Amino acid sequence: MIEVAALSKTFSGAPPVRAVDDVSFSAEPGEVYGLLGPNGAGKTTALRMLATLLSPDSGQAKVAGHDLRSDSQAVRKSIGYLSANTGLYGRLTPREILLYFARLQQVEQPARRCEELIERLGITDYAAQRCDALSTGMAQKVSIARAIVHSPPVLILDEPTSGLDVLVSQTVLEFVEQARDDGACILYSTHVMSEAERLCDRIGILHEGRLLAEGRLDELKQQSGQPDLEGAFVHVVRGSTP
Amino acid sequence: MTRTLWIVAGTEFRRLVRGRGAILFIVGALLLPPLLIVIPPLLWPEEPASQHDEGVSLDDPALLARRTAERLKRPLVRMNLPDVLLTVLTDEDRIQPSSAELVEEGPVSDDAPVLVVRIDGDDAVVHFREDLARTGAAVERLRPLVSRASDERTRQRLVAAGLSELEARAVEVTSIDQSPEAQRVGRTVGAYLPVIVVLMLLSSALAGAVALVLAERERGTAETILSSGVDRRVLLLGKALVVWGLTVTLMLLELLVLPMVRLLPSGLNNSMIQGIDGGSIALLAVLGIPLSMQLAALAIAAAAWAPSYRALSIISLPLSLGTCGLAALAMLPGLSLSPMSAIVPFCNLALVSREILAGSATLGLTALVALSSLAWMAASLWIAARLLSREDALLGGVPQPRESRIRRVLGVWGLTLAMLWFVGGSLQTRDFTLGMTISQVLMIAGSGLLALLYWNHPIAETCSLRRPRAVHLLLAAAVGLCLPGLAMLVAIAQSPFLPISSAWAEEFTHMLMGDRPLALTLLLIAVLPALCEELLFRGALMGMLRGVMGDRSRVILVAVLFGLLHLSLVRSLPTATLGVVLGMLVVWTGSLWPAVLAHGLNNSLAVTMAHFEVAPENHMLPLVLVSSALCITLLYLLRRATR
Repeated sequence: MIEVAALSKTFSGAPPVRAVDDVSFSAEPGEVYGLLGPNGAGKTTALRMLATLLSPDSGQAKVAGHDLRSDSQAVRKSIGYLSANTGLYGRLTPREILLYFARLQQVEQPARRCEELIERLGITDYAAQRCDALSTGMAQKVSIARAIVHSPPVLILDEPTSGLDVLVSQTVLEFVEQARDDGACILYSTHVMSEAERLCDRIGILHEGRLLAEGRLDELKQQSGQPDLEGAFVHVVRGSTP
Repeated sequence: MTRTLWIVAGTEFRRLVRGRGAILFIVGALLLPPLLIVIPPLLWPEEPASQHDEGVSLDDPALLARRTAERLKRPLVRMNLPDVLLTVLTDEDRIQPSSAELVEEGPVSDDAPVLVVRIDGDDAVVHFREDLARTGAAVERLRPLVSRASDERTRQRLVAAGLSELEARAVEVTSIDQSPEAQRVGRTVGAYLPVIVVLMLLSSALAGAVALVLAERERGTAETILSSGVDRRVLLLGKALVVWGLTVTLMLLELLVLPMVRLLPSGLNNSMIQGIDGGSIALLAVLGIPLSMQLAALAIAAAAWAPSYRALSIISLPLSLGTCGLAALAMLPGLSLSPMSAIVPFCNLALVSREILAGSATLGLTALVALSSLAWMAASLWIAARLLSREDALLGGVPQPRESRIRRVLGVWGLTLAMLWFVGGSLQTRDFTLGMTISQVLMIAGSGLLALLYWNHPIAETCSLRRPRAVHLLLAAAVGLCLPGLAMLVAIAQSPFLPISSAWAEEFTHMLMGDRPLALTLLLIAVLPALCEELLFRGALMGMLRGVMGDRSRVILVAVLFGLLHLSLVRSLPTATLGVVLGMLVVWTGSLWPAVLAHGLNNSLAVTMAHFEVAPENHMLPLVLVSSALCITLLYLLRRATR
């Protein structure tokens, strides 16, 4: 469902920053692939490239069978993208936002789909309030609904629990588990170890733009000789630092 | 695509009109035109009603002359061209003509402009108000007649009227527009109103563009919308459509408010208001459609470019000045609608509105204006689409070193401009030597040095204060001697759009040369600016932009700022061209001194030419072309020598 081969991206500047350096991985339907890394590791850049928001300098990637470079429009239609920074239009209500995106994504019976999501994610009480009056948790629920309004087969989630309290984070995590059970292919970036342990079927550890290690949780622990993911992560990252 | 466009436009419209801010904005926008019309006359009261306002024509020359004398509060001599008729009216004891009554000779024809000769102390001053003469052709037709008149018959008449030979020497001329009332008002209103309309529309368009484009980035919704399936071009078009709709709607509302200004108390009434009738409003409404399309596209492009609210607020001032400045070009004497001026954005719409109001527009040129306006709008939208496709379109709100450096450079330039405008200019008018020294040393060089100290830039390194190679200095000196030719070439090339009025040129030359010795003039006009302006522009500003912009970009940006700092539309482009050459000298040689030398020699040559009264007339074109070609060759040689 997601195939990434030797993807690279450099930002110009003085000096230039190689944000993603020759990264390759793949993820299947019904699987949560976690990208784990410290701040500035290149997680967001990698995810933004897969969401077609940035273009890679080199390398190949396919999302839901569509080539990232030659068929970016089809890629966008196949993904649901959500990040911690994702904003909502403050002057619109959740219902209006969902309807707007459903129409843009050419969803059949958009109004019905919106009501279904409003009910499923517990947005009903504030579906008619303007979004600038919503709390962070309420807004994140609306963002989740917006990301899946067109039932995409691939979800790209960039630190979706960042800045949320425990209860709202729980809602997000439950949503991810539900989506996986429904057969979606999920790319999930985080630097919270407990989230990765709970959600991810496979994990890639990204540091300074390079994918240093990849595998199932137990494989990573075994390779590093550490008892938990945090230990394995620190071992891999420190081991790569000269 | 059309369906998506309407979905985007509908939602964007809803986003835009909701909220208290929108209501406040609409109220403010509606108050703007009356304020713009009412406030200027309160600050700068109009002269007492002229002869035109009271319907006095040449049929009653005695009344005309008396009214003009009252208006000028001066003794008056009136001439009428082309027959060079002369009337003298004065009540001053020292100068006693035959009587205080009007003395009139010969016939007075309707189309003959009237010259008013004002007796000012020891001089007889003839005023030629070119702003009322309006067309360059009229001015040019009158000038030799005036010259002849002042040389021959005028002097005789003035002497006969009781003036000495010295007093009779006419040095300045005024013509009073004798065209029919409707045409005169049409020209005035047609030239003035488009500037107000541009300002009103641009403010509406910028507000809309900020809410729909820039706010997307600031709020983080840009990521959301761009990662959805919607085509970026459709998204942009949808936003442009809404901004344009908002702009047009506000314009129509504002135009409907304009007639209500007539209801204001008589104290607030003025001739501007009297000139606004149903026809003017209808015309402005029609012209407002292409104008608002252009401005909406421009505002969208600006908002797509701006990485933050702050950046947009910084560029909104030069943007407003630029668009209003282009519209205000239509007020320049001698500039009329032509195939060339019909393609200059904003200026063309102002010109065509003036022509229509004055009843002299042609269908062909009006169509050309409409077509070129559409082309400008399409170009702006294309630029906006390109800007929105940039990857950093998503990264708004993150201050980049590049942006902050550009902001600093614009800030230093703005501060210097403000000081020169408000203080330097008036100081120079009172005492040129003192004013020029303070402007150059304290305001120009001082602001550059202060900026470097404030932001901790090492002065010598930032300003490239390095010892240059002798061969570079020699070539730069040769370039400097050819630079006046290049500047003249640019001035000649722009003259169809920006004609240089002889009166302005004379006044400018007089101000520069004054009655000072040549050595002092060279020090004030050549040495000081070469050192101080180069220190600020090619030194501090270009140095601050090193590493955050490419060499070509920083040379051009600083050259444009250099051109604009000279506070003259006519001089801006030639000066900016000099700025480009001087910037290249610094980049290529790695030292500021070749630019200082070239600048100094350029100014010295110009001063020397003015001193020996070598005027840049058309017959100098071959010399100008040779000089420009030589300049380019020398730059090529310098480039090769520095590689």
